[in-house]
Amino acid sequence: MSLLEIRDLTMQFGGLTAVDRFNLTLNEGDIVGLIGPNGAGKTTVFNCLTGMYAPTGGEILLSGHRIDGLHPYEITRLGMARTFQNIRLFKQLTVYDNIRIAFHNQSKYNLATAVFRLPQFAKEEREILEKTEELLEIFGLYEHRNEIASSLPYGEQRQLEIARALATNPQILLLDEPAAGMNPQETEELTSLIRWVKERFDLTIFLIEHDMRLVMRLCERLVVLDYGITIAEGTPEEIQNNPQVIEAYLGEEAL
Amino acid sequence: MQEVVQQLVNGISLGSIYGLIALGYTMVYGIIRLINFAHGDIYMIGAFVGYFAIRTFHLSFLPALLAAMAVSAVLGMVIERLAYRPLRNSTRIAALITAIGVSFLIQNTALLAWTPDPRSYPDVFPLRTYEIGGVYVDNRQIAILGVALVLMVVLHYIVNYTQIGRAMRAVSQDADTARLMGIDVDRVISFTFALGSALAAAAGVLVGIYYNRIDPTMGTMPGLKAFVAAVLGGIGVIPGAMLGGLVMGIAEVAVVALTESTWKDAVAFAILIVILLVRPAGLLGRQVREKV
Repeated sequence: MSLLEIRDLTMQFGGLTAVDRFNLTLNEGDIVGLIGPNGAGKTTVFNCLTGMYAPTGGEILLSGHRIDGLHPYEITRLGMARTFQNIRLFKQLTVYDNIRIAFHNQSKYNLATAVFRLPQFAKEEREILEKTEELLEIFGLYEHRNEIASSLPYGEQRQLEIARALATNPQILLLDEPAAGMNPQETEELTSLIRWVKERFDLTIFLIEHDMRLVMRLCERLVVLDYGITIAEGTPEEIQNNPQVIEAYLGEEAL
Repeated sequence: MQEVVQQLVNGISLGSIYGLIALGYTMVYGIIRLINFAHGDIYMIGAFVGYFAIRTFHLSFLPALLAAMAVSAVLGMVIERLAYRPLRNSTRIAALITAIGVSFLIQNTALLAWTPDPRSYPDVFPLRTYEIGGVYVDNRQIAILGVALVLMVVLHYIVNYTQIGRAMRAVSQDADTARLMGIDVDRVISFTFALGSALAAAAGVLVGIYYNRIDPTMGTMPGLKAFVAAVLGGIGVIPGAMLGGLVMGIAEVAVVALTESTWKDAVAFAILIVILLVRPAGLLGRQVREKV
């Protein structure tokens, strides 16, 4: 059974069809890229997958269960995590707290346990702290742990956002333009980081990206959206040579 | 000198009551940007629940306090669920006016059920007064201070060191992102109302014991003053509510001592006007320039 199955996903805003009958199947361990010109509906697909929008048509199945129409927090708990194109950290909270918040669904202790500091509370808080520190170590953010998130340099904010997404314990990680605003060297590092994280956390990755070097090197499969319609799907090589894709990106004259 | 210390003691007692109520205003505002004008009436309900717990069910002080807090917490959650949640995505003014409506509803229901006549609070604490270097402190003031202090410490601890507290802070900063972190935002909001209402109820019971007199309209004035206290400290800032409450209590007592007691309600609103003119974000609030 495939991990994520998207069937005829459609999202309309009034008269505008942002995504039109989008289909995709992700198997465990896949790393698939979603590309397309600006305004093609890529982020809308992500918003539908994570429950921020309720799709107006189609079905989304995670491990065989319908998830379209569920609340975002329910979908997160079922194993879907994402990052944002424009970083959305809890800006005024510390790096520590940003990660710890994401462990929310994994803590079971109740208020009384916390107020009276019963052993279960201490144990769970210790586990959360350990897992948080492990993530911070992996992403090289440990030394910044007590800093306010918005005070971090840009690249580290991106890393913190990925670390935070991982803390929700996902099966599928959605990355929305992870390399946006990065220089070639940072993009290079990010590429290896994504690959490493995928192995380390057993992830399936679905990413939106404009940086073609990253996409071509990282993804096994690409889907191309244009005006909400899937115009091509295939390996990076196939996509690179697909006339429809070239047209969408460069306009008709380029052919 | 003794007189000054004496007034300070009185002011701090009164101020910690305002502080407890102000915390509810500020937490709710912090999380859904709503001034919950029904908050003062929840405080009144708390006082009455405490009254009946002691008079009818013969509970002693602490169990009565906990009962009042529990009942009001539930009431706060019910109000949020029925009156505010359906308006979550409507304009802020709609929710604000609804809050005023809820306030009237609770107050008038209470007037109907319990009559407007004031009741004297049952005597759970036989009054004992201690003299320390010429300053008089009674055991009721000590109870107020003790309970307020414990509750504030517990609240601080919940907000800063537990997962639900982190979730509250996350929701107050960015509710959409909090959802994507697996946080059930509706539950967190519900919890915030419960917490704020429980604190207001505790204040209600303490006031009943201290002034020995409760009635269904008792929530209006302290509610407004606590709102001023929350604004004074910086609305949405939890330590600000405590500070604002103390400043308000001391100011009120000082005005009564120096002038006539008819000025005591005016001072609260004078403070509100001054703070809005001079430092609209409040004492501990971050000064942000409104984007035009």
